[in-house]
Order: sequence, then structure tokens, then C-alpha cells
Amino acid sequence: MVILKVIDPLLSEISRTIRRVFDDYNYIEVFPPIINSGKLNGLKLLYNNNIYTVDPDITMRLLDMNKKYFINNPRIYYISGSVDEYLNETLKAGLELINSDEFSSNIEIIKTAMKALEELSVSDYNIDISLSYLYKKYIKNKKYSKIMEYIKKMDYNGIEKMDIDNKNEIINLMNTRTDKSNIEFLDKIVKTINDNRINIDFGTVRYFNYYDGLIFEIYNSNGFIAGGGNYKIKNMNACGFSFNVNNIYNAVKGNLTGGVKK
Amino acid sequence: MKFAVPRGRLMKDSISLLNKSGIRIDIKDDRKLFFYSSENEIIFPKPMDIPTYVEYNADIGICGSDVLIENKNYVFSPLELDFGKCRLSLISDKKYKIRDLYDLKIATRHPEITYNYFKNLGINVNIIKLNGSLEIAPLTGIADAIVDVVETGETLRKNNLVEIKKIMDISAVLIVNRVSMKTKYDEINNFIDSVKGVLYEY
Repeated sequence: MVILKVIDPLLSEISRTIRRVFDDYNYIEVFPPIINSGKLNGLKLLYNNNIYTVDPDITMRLLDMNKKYFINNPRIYYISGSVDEYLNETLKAGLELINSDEFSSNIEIIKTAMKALEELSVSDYNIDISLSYLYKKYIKNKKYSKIMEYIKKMDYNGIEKMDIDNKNEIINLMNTRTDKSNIEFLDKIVKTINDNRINIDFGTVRYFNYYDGLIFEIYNSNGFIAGGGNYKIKNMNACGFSFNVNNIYNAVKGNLTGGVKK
Repeated sequence: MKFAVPRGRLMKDSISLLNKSGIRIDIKDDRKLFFYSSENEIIFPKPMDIPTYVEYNADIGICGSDVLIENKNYVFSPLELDFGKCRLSLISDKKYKIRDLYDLKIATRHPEITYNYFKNLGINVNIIKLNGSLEIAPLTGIADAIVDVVETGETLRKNNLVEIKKIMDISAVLIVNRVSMKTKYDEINNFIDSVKGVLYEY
């Protein structure tokens, strides 16, 4: 069980900087409820014979918001504590860009994340990008979830044991890291961002039942700094990411040593 | 790179595998919990803690597949290894049918796996977490049955216990820190290839 430090001037400065950058990009701060009723993803709480979810994920929170809200306010952000099922707390700072063109919104959120890190003087990181549906053409529907779980764990034995074609293609794909993939969408993102810290990594897999399109992770030698991607909600295209503020805190504090290899 | 090698029953085979894969480990004092070897650092946590060390600190580790499933750590598990083969079983001093265990007490070092096993069967049980010598639990009456690792079954026979049902097969597995997989991509993949070479005798 890890509990957040309540008072810390550096943490205040970091959250202030993130807020400023998100504000500059015209994102509006929202304050989602900590507890939702019903069986959503998150920490379950039983109270008066009803099930509640503490810290439901942001998409579930968005579902509670009126679709019309996003027509006038497509950019929202939040900074809040988050708790997992083992009661470990982390501080997250995330943003969502809803009802916007897929490519330009994907570029915007990556650039926003990079700008926030730049303002925090965190430069030692890499960004890995991929597509959520990359493996779909190699896997028949009924085995998809099972094989994606193996890919997520990089479990070569699990894949080898499956009765499927294309095992070699799947394993080769899992091990592909490049800056030019011949997938137009990804290559265009790399070209548009134009920063040598961005890689195309097909071994990156994130919540494959949730994301639809781009997925990305920002990390350095001591941990993951941010993760996000593109998804669909209420028939709208949306994308977002969240910073792990605790890991940013460590980076800012200068606890990290060593560079990140390309 | 930093390797997390488990103390206990997997230690000897783990060290042997690492040596054959080009990571020299020459232990002169087995009470030391960490040492450096060439450019590598080797640490020796308890088996149950290996996935946690690999998630937060070490680059590569070896642990039982049961430990990995029990702990649910956020790590890669690229290879199943050819040692540490055993099984996790439901055991008691009485020949229970599984349905007879409804509302009874089950002692285990694997509460997560045990909970999910009985939940999938729709049987409510009361789980008691113990840290070792589980065979005593049914004999002393603090639990009606246990869920524990069985290698040969010799300990069960000596304590007049019976294996009611196998829950899962267990094997040692190689696990990798997810960030290290990205930041030390070539070193880790070269090491995995070396291990594959040892396992499959290329």
C-alpha cells in the first residue's frame, strides 16, 4: 500500500506547470466524481448493500457527461489521485480531446505531453507508438483476446502453443522497433512530430479492447511517464493520455540516471 | 543488466541456466543477497518477491509461473523454462469432493489463485493465508484443506494427506521488466536468444 505525500512543494510546482500547459492548449479542467455506482472498472466498494466503484476510469466518467458538452468543449483535463485494487495511490494528470479529427487530435495530444515535459525540464524520455488493431488481420476473432493477452505479456510460449497460422509473423511484429513502418498513419505521425525520441514499436500493446487507433507510451529508464491513445465514445472520435505524476516527480527531482537508448 | 534470481528450490537451476546463457555467476557465499559479476548485478530475493523486483527494479528474473499469476505484476513473461516443473493442487486429510468444501476453510500461500479457482466453480470458501508448512493446517484443524505446490507427492504421503484435484501445472518462467525491454532492447533480446539456444539446443 503506497500513500501519496500530501504536502510537497515540488509536487505542487509540477501540477501547477502541467495545469498551465494544459490551460495554454485550451483544455478545461474538470472534476470527475471519485465514486460511481455500478460495476465499472476500478476499486469496488460495498456500502449499504450497493456496489460502488472508487476511482472509475475516465472514459466511464465521460459516459456520464452530456454529449452536447463536448461540441462546445472538446478539450478537458483533470488532475486527481488514483488508487488500484491493492490500495496503491498514484497522482494522475490526464487530458481528453473529444469529437475531433483523428490524426490532428492524435498529433495535438502527443505535442501537448511533450510541451508539458519540456516545461518541467524532463527531456530524457522516449515515446513508443503503435496501432491498437495492428494484430487483427493475423488473428481470427474468437482467439483474438487470448492471443492479445499473450502479446501483451510477450509470452512467446503461449503464442507457440496456440493452434493458429501466422505465428512467425506475429512474433516478428512483436519485435519490430523502427522509425519507418510502411504504415502510412504511423509514419505520418513520426514525420509530423519530427523528434528523434519517437519510435514505432509494435510490441507496445495497451487495453486492446478499449483503444481504437493510435496507442502510445512515454517512458524513461526508470518507468512509464505517460500512456494513452485513440478511442471511440458515443459515436465520436476521441483520444487522451494520462501522466503518472509520481514518475514525473522522480524525473524532475533528478533521481533518474542514465539515458534512454534508441 | 540486473538479474533477480530466486532463493530456494529454483536457485540452482536458475544459476545453471544463467551460466549457460553467458551470465557468469560464481557464488562463494550463499548468504550474500547481491553481488556484481562483470557488468551485471545479481540479486537473490525470496521467490514470491521476484516479480515485484522485476517490475520495479531488476531487468530480468526467474520465478514460478504460480508466483507470476498470484502476484499479477506488470511484467513481460517471454519464456517458459524447462525446470521447476510441479503442480498446484487442492489437498486434504479427507477425501473430499470439491462441492463438499462449500463454506469450509482453505489454507494457502496462493490466495488469489485459490479465490479465482473456487469462484469459477461457484463455491464459496474461506481462505486463510499462510506462509509455509501448509501440511500442518488440516492436521491441526485450522483449515479443512490446503492449496499448495506438489512436486513428487512424498511430503503428502508422509503426512497422510491426499491430493483431491490438480489446479494448475507450474513451471519456472523468465520474466522481464517492461521498461527495460524498451530501454535495453538489444541486450535483453540477445539474452533471450541465448536462453532459447540453451533450452532448445540450437
